[in-house]
Amino acid sequence: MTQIASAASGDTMTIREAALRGEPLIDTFIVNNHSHLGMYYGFAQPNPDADTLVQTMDRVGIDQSCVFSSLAITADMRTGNDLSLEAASQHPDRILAYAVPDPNLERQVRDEMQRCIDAGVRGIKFHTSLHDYPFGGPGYVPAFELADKHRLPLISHGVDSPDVLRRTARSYPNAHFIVAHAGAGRRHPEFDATYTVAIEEPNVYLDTAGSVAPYGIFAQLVKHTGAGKILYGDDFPWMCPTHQIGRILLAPITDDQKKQILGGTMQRLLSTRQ
Amino acid sequence: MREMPHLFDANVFLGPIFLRHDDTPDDVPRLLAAMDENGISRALVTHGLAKWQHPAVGNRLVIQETKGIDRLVPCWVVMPSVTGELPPERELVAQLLDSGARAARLCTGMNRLTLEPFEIETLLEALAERRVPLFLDTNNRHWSEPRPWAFIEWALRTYPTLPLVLLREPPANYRTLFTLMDRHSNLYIETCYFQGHDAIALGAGRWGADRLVFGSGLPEWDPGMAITGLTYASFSVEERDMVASGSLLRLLDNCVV
Repeated sequence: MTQIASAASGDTMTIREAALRGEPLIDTFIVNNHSHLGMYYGFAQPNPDADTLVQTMDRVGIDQSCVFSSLAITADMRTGNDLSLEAASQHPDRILAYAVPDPNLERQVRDEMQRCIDAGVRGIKFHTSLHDYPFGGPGYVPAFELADKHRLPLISHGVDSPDVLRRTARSYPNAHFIVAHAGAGRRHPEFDATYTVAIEEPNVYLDTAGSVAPYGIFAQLVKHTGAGKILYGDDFPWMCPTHQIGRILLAPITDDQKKQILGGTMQRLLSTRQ
Repeated sequence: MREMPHLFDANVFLGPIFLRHDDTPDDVPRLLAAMDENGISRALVTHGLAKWQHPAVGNRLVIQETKGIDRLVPCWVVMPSVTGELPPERELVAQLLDSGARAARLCTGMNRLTLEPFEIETLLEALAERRVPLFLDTNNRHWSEPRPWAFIEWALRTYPTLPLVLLREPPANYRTLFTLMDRHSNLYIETCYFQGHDAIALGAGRWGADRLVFGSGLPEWDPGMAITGLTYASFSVEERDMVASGSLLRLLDNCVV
């Protein structure tokens, strides 16, 4: 079992032991690939700002969070993207801004994505259900092209179908496709075609953010797809990082697998940006 | 180095549960092993067959199977008695306490209860008289499912000595939940699904840590998120320990035996 050091005392312990004690995981590089920012009309989300996100990250030992404002996935793409960029500028190296396209504003998407890339975003986020638009629709094509050109992560809430996901991943092989929420685990992963696509396509990954966690299912998923296909995400502030990370920290998998999921793989995906 | 909290889990099933798989602990030895793996010292346990077969069966089994095991405290599933499936309400509550159980679970959807006062008032009155904490199990899986708020508000107002604990309270209801928590000191939250950003610490600061009860949902649900939601929350060790075990102990000790 890998030994890590606790922040407070320097004592060595496993990831499991640190989690049970509430010790920050200072020797494990952790990247949260799925966070929002700001208030949301649908329900009350306590302390949804970047400053308190960073405080929570510090308590757990999360090094970086990829953020996309809730405003950008709802009513105002451009202002929302600016909120994400502003948060990243206030917390360099801790908050990584992503750009969100609103595909309903089809004629604006390319310029907006390019503007955000020029401003330093590290990835792209789709929310196909809130934007009520298909993953395979033409409004998203400029975002796919730019993600491919700049070799960026692209996380999507909704991918239409496993076949559309596979076709798109093959069309844009330099983009890193992340299926939001799919890595939280579903019953009988062996029958789920989305997981088959993730296993077979080298640029498809699964995000762990999800409120529901049936017993033992996450470990089954890790065994089925391999830890290298799963990326930690917490969906802050829709859900709390302190809860979400527990799915991984206390799972009956090895510490090396946990480290891959917590940030090892995501560091590599973020490093390819051109 | 921080000490591990003493976890007394308020939301655990013993025995077979619906939709289990090969790795699901479904007997006492496997449940205790799963508790050990996750640092859970004690658990308030309902028998799976009390929920997924019938309370008359599962309530008897939970007493048999936990006998002599101090780490497992039994909890019964309760229903109205009008059909003769269970004893009359006051007798049922007396039997519950005599058996060593110290809490009751109401499975609202599974037992097709309307929760109208005419249906449920005799049962709640009997529980309130003996201050037996009632855990409300709506069998919710996802945060977007509705809660029977009108019933909850009526029960809290009508039976102020009845502690009512909301199991698996989701993060999307705060606009409603906070009003009831502010108004009714006999309302409690079980924390396994209470995962709004730092919501456990926020709740402890607003209502007191003794209004929050640690639970995991084991073995139906993965206990990992419930545990780290507690251990990494932004509150004092004293508040953490109250949520981890103190608040449940108080509720169980407060039964009129």
